[in-house]
Amino acid sequence: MSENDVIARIKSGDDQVLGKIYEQYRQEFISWLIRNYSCNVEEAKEVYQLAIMIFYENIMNGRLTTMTSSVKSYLFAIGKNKMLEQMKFDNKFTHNLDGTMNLMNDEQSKEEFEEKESTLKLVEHCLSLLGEPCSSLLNLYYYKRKSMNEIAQELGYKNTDTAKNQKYKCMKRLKKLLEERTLNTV
Amino acid sequence: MDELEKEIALLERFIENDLSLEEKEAVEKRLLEEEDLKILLGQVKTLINGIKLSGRNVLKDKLEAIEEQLPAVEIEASTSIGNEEKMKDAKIVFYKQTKFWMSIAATIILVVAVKFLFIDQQSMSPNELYAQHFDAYMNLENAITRGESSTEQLSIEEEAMKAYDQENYKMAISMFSKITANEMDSGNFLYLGNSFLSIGETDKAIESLKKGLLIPGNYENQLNWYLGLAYLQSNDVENAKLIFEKISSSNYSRKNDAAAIVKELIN
Repeated sequence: MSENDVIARIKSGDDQVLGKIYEQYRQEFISWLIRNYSCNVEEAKEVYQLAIMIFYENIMNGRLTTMTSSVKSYLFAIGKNKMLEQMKFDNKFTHNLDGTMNLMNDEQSKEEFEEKESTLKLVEHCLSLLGEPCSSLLNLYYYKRKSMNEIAQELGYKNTDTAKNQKYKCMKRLKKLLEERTLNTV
Repeated sequence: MDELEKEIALLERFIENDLSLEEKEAVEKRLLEEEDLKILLGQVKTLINGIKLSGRNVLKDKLEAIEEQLPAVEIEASTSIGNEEKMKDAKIVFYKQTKFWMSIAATIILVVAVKFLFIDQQSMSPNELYAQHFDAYMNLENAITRGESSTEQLSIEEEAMKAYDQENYKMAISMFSKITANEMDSGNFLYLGNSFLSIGETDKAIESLKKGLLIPGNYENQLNWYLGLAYLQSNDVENAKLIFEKISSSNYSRKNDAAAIVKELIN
């Protein structure tokens, strides 16, 4: 299977291809990361899974349509970027805490970051409460970046407009659920 | 659709940059005047990000399920040099070595070290070298905080830099292309070239980086470094070698990396 076949099959929803890719480069990627970035197996696995997810997301959102390099090179490049990003991120807080640099505003920035993270987790929880068809509809549109036409066909809506209207209703319900949960936790 | 649904639809198109210029300006004007709309914009963004996170976690669970079915990762013992603490949890599996080394009763450590050296000396393809060394140039000078309010008035340079920082390279390319058409600044060509490289448009990256090198500025080393990587990506070994040889004899912080690449290319 050529690199561009891989893209086409993943884009068409063939999850097995992604599983095979995961298996194919796992050993080499994790060993390489441990060798070059002094991380342990669990950390390296996390980065590998992240690289696979970004590879998948870039195909689904149309950023990756054709490959000029191999899947392997692409995954390794993501892995390296993510490790450097992680180091840069950690440094921001380290420098900030000892007061020698002020890349983030102050300690509050870390709190803000954590607060945003917990809000996103709350959205995720609310999404599970929404049930079907909203949960699938929102996932297909925002995460898998499917067109409304594809979604209408996949979920059996009469036409694109019906699916679109349903999506906004789902967003409104999700917003309401989040507001209720946020108020309860304050 | 009720009013709230219509507002959500409008803001969603605003976030996705799917509005005409007039519509976009009208929303921006309203955002400055209407606090409720500004709050709703923040909420819609949060919902979208939460949905994306949820999608990613579903995929992560699938990968975890695959992971559980696979055998433990084999780690070369030599990777633990200077990293013993972190290797405690790692399941270390020594590679089977050749009978030749076993027969001369070399110690296990020596055997593994030889295996490690052998792996390290395998020459890499230009593409692999590119993947090992490419990370988009970090914008440290004008960092724009992620998630900053989109209502804030930013100059086109700041907007371009924001798109770049957020890895929205297509948007960054569109903006840096406009900027570089009017203003000859080597830094902007560096970011334009990096944006092209990040989305795999190698030929355009080479063109932009070369243009940047024609302008006297502070980014000569960085432009050369990424031009060399772009040549690697396009499999142009000759030009890549010339560039990295030049970098290896400069004072650039990556001169050692450049020398290592030259060595790989010669092998």
